[in-house]
Amino acid sequence: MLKITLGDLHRIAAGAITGVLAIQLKRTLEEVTPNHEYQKDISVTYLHALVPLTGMGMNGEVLFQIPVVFATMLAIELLGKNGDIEELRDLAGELGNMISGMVKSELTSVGFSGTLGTPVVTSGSRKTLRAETNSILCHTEWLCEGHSLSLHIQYRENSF
Amino acid sequence: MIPKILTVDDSKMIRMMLTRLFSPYLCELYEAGNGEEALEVAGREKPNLIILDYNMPVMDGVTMLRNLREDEALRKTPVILLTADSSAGLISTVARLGVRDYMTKPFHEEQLLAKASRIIDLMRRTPDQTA
Repeated sequence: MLKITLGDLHRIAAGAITGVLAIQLKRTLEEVTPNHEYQKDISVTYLHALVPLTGMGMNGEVLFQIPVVFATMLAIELLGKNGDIEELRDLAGELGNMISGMVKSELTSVGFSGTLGTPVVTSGSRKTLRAETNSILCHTEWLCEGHSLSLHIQYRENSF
Repeated sequence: MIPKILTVDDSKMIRMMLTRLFSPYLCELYEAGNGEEALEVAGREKPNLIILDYNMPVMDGVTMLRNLREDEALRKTPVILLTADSSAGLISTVARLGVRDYMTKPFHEEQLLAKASRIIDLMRRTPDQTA
């Protein structure tokens, strides 16, 4: 049986989000505490990419959130033009996919065997994964060039 | 001969990133959003290199590779797999299907260029050869 702690999930989340932003977007992130003032701005619209992880003996979700305005800036940089909403959703989904891939890779190194689902991308106000019984839920919050990003991972062992 | 590169990914963003990455080089670029489209483009254009994602709707990268290897005209086409999935099972499957190289996302652009240039001649465009 896998023994994952909250500390393990936090380390995995931090490595995944900082790795993807650094390698693919040449960005550095600063971790901030949950309930940081940036997260309380209700005028900000976010793109959410939710990726399911399904495996033998465990399952979970990875939720990545990025403000639409920051995704727009990244799209201009990557595409050389303003992305339309579908392109922004595509960007958020692909970043969520890469981050989840790194999360899965780290979980694999401690014995996880399973698959990544397809990212489901939505938009709106900030979301939070609801903690479930017998699960470990890790919330991490980040600032990048003044924009608030988040990565939440929920991990639960299956009961048979 | 100007090399032809086919990029296959359901993410338009990734396809556009790859187009931007290769556009300074003398090559013809083609795109497909899934394995089925990719087989159609490959059959028509006979690319010299395919950069292929794994997890795609309609037809995934492994199914596309299997079809490619069964096509007499396309079976030797070099393929670089570019995917967020780094599972040992996938690597072993695509290795058996003869992929030339494997990269995980997120990817360093210069590493992908280096891998591509080991397969095809990538020559920088001169000012009168702009894409």
